[in-house]
Amino acid sequence: MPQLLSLGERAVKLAEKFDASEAEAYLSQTVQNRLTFHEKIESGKTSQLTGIGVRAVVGKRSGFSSSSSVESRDLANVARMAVAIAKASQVDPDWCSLPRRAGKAKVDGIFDKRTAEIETDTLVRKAVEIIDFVRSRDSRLTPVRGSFATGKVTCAIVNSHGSKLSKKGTYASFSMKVKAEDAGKKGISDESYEARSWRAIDFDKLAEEASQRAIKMLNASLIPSAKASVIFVNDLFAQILNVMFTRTINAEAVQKGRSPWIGKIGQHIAQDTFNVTDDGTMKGGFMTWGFDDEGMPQQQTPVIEEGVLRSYLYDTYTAAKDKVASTGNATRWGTSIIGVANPYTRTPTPAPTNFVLKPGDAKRDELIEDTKNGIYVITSIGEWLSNPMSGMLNATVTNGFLVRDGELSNPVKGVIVSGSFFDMISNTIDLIADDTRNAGNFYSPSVRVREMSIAGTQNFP
Amino acid sequence: MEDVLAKLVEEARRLGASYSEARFQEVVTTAITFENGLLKTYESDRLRGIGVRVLLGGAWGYSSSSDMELSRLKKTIRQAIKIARSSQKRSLEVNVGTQRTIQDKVGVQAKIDPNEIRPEEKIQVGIQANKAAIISDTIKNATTRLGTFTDKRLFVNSEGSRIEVNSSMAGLQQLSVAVSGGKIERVSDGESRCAGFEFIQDKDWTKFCAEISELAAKVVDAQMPVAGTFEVVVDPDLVGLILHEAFGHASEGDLVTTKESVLQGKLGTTLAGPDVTIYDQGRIEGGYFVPYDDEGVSKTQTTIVDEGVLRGYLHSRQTAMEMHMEPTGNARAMNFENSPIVRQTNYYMKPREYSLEELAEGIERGYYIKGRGAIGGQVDVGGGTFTFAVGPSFLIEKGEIKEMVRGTTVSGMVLETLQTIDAVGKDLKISTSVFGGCGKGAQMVRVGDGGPHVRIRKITLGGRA
Repeated sequence: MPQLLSLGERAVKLAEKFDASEAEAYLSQTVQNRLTFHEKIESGKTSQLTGIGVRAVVGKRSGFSSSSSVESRDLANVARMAVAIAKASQVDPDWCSLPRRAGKAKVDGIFDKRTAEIETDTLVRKAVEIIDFVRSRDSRLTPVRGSFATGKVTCAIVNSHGSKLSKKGTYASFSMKVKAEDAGKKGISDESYEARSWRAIDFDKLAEEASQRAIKMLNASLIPSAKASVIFVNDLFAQILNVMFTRTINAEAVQKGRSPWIGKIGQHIAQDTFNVTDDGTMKGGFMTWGFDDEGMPQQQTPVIEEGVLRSYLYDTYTAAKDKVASTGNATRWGTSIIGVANPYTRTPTPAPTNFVLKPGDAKRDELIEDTKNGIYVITSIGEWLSNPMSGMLNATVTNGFLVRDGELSNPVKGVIVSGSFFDMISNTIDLIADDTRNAGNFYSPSVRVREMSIAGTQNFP
Repeated sequence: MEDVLAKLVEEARRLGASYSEARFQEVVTTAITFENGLLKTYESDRLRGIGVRVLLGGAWGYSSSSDMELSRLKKTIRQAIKIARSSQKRSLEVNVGTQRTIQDKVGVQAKIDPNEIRPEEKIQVGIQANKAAIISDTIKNATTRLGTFTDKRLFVNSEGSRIEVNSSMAGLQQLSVAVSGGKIERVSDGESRCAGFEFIQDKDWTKFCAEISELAAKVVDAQMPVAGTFEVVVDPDLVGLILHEAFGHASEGDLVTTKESVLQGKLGTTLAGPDVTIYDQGRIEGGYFVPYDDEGVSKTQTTIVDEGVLRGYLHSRQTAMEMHMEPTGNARAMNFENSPIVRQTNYYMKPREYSLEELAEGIERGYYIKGRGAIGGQVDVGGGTFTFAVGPSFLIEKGEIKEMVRGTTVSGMVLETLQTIDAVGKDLKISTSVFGGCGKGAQMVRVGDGGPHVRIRKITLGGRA
């Protein structure tokens, strides 16, 4: 860790030497283990990557450059390139400065020593256990895909205004897919879980869930098109919240005119039962850190209170533009043109930390019991293709069940569930359960929507 | 660097590996974003490192490092060996067979190295294109991305193959958001090519970006299509995406050998009409450049479906051995940090005889669905359901293409959809993108896809009731 900090200090000094009026270095070192399996062990890997990204500012012009090599020569190249890009850039009249009040919040549950030390043999043992469990549970079942990933990341941020911060954290994830086969019919089901520690994952429960459901899905089919109630299970609704809010609730999207929430602060955008907090300090949260990706302390930010939009999510740049304080939401996660990007290759932008929809008091069973005619959706594909600007939600169901008179009946797949997400939160979500679960950094209970359009085998007139 | 890789391969052999390979990679990427007439971010990255894969006692071990110091690399080898040993219990008893030794160096024909272009020039092109997209007050946001990369990959294995592949790519993408009468819609589209920076210099991007905005401004006032199952004509931009999602993934050998894919056990079966022929090809005009895969196997043309009959799968060396078939050069890795897995390269349908008008003629009431503005898709290979987003499209009534409708989501069943393709057009377009690719097993790789216009008798559209 001291090594990352001292590399950062050198890079900042180099950028200043090359004419930067302010500079910031972000460094990370990641070690990741991964194992894939089906009925047999497929392959294991470990990878280690160190990288540095330098933001250089010349007057009100900024540039960025990054590298996976951190030798002296590379540090100089990255610093020089960042300054050269800054000089080639336009003056940004809204530029204020790099963070001057960096700091750290107190957080818990983000680094687990045991998870950091896991090696392939542990993953292989767990895989064998799971394979044996699925095979012995029912002869119709086969594990067709599974993977574990564990990782450790250490990260440091240094800037010209005296920031000198470091942090470390761990991750563990598990996903598996189970196939049932019987008399020429197939059922497929998958389960996954992401957490900050290996022991937080209930492997047995997830394997059992996937196994049970794969058998039920043997008879899944399309159903006729209809208007009906839809129950979204917790982690699926968490993914839908991600699609609908990540790209629109941040202040940058609002300032740049690509958010439906522009001008809506203080207004009712949802029902009174709808409360959302961006909780950057939640114990063991998937995106909990002491400080964000430009060194500002993470915090709890009320986003929607009793249906009223209270705040956008800010980093230092967008906060200065709106003359408010940063909410500690600078992140460097995301995709770049080389795929899933390492944070050190990106410039910070505001995005959710742990985005939490407050649970209601209904039990999940009550959502079903209270539904006369509808579908219960557990997994879908393509929900991420929905449009957060227009609010148009489309999800193609892969594991679902019809609900008839308060009970789950036939399994369903292949139908598209469509509706306006804006209508859902402001009007048609009429029950919220108490069963919060996360999909990455989004936390949600299961919800019921009174009515949506279901595209199936017939056309509407 | 080749010699370092050869040393690592030798070290792996000394430590007991029956087969080993080492890959070096250096990728230089530039991604510049412009928004509402201003430069937003300019990111420039250099990623470099080595990955080694060893086979020992029938089990794989993989390890990678961005630290290129020789002592560190030897540790990387030892880690790979250790992982292989740990994985022997319940291993697949992997056999990769033997392949002929290849010594080759190939590259994309790039006239101008994008890394030699000064930041000023790249910014200039992007700013002009971005400003041109702000066509009226209806456009509330215009975002333009300019991207380039060069990717050098060296491959050395214990069979004596030494291969260097240099690719280079450039492209531009426009996203326009239109607001009208309380309604809001976004449309995006891009063009990329395996080429040097000349691809950017030689095209009028201001016209390209303005057209996307015009489309956004028009479609924001259009209606959603009606939900249900319809007959459709699909354009070449979209047919590639359908093939990729609805069929390509299911034909990937690793999903077949694990018995997940619905195409398992279907070789020699008629899955479509006689007009349908599908290829996966490593080098093709408009597509991505894959002369060799990341196992050093040459990638040429693989016939997947020949006149409706399933004739092949996509293979790595391992899946080919498991199925007693030949490797097809489809083992690809996102980068040096990852072990190669079976992936598509350029997946496309062979054109036949119909014009667009002839395809539409047969439809009483349906849609002409288009890929421009579509943002991707996904498939559940085991369950057989696929889905993808389509861009602004058109209603078809009594054989005629009528008014525009908004983009939506479409879904279908893998086997059924191919069977309901009843007419194939005569045009052919293949494309790829610098801005994204296809995700599988936590790896993203670039792919190309395409085909002619086709008519499908049965596909489900999400929309209004």
